[in-house]
Amino acid sequence: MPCALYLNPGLANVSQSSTSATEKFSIAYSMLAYNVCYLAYTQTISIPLSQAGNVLANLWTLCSEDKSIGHFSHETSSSSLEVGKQPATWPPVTASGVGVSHPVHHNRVLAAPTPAPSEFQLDFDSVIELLLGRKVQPPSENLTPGSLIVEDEAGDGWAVVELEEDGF
Amino acid sequence: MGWITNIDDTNYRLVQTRKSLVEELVEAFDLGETDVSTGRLGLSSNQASPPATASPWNAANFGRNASKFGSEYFLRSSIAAVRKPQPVLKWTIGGLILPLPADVQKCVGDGIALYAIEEINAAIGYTLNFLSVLCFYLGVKLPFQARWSGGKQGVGIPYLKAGSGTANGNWSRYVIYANDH
Repeated sequence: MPCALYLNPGLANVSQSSTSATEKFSIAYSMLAYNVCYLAYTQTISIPLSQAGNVLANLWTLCSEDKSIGHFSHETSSSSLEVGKQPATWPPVTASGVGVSHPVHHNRVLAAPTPAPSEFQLDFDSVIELLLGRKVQPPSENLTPGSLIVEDEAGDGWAVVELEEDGF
Repeated sequence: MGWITNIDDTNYRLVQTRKSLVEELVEAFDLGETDVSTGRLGLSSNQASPPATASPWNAANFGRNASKFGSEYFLRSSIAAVRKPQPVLKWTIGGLILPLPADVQKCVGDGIALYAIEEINAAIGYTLNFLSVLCFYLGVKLPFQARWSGGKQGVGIPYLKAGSGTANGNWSRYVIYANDH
């Protein structure tokens, strides 16, 4: 089960000193913050780690950058960091004619070459540490594909279950 | 080489269209800095103050236009200095603050009010919707994908997990991270 970016109303008016109540919220928030930093990166805006948690400010910044916003929507190679370097011919010529058509559906984008995340250097563990205040152990890498880690009923430790075909 | 000119021209128009769409999106979601000195919004200053104390004509409801047409233009500076509260600018979306996890943690420890939780969840919903539309406009796939428990965008509880693919930055391992909120 993925991380819920949601505060349980049951937390209302219940004083809890334990950090566990909001830990998973913090991890999910880190994912959101990381997404925004990545999106800014694809628009050639670099957001330092110290500012990664300011989700709304970062969103506004990337939307307000008139020189870069929208330029690299279809330019999906790793060279998108170089804002000044615009290719002479924008997209590759496709069978249908000139360039890559605007995506009608988001899934169409996935079929095209995706932005090269390997060039994105922001470390997700660092973002979690920044927002949560401490390191979190990521799930084990030894699990085979098709498995899903879920917390066992006691809440301590991990258990492996089969993942359904439809993901999530 | 006329087709290159055509491509450049088409691309230029696409970029301009995307810019316009993003501009409209920011406007529609009212994303920006808002004066929250009235204490009305979310976790701004006083958790205990109920929303009923807010006037419909306070600065928060005027949004960022308040600073443009507010008291500073209509009152003498000496009077304004007395009457005008010190502006507290916070980033808001749809008039709601999206607090940092550390602030949420602190408020939960102190005992958070139900309406504050609902405001935070609403701010998260706005932000996720904003991000979803923005990515559609820009044609970008994000590392972490959101899924809603209701099966439709904006319905139910949002869950995030890493999308498929390998990447630097250690985020891809969270594809199998589990949570039981």
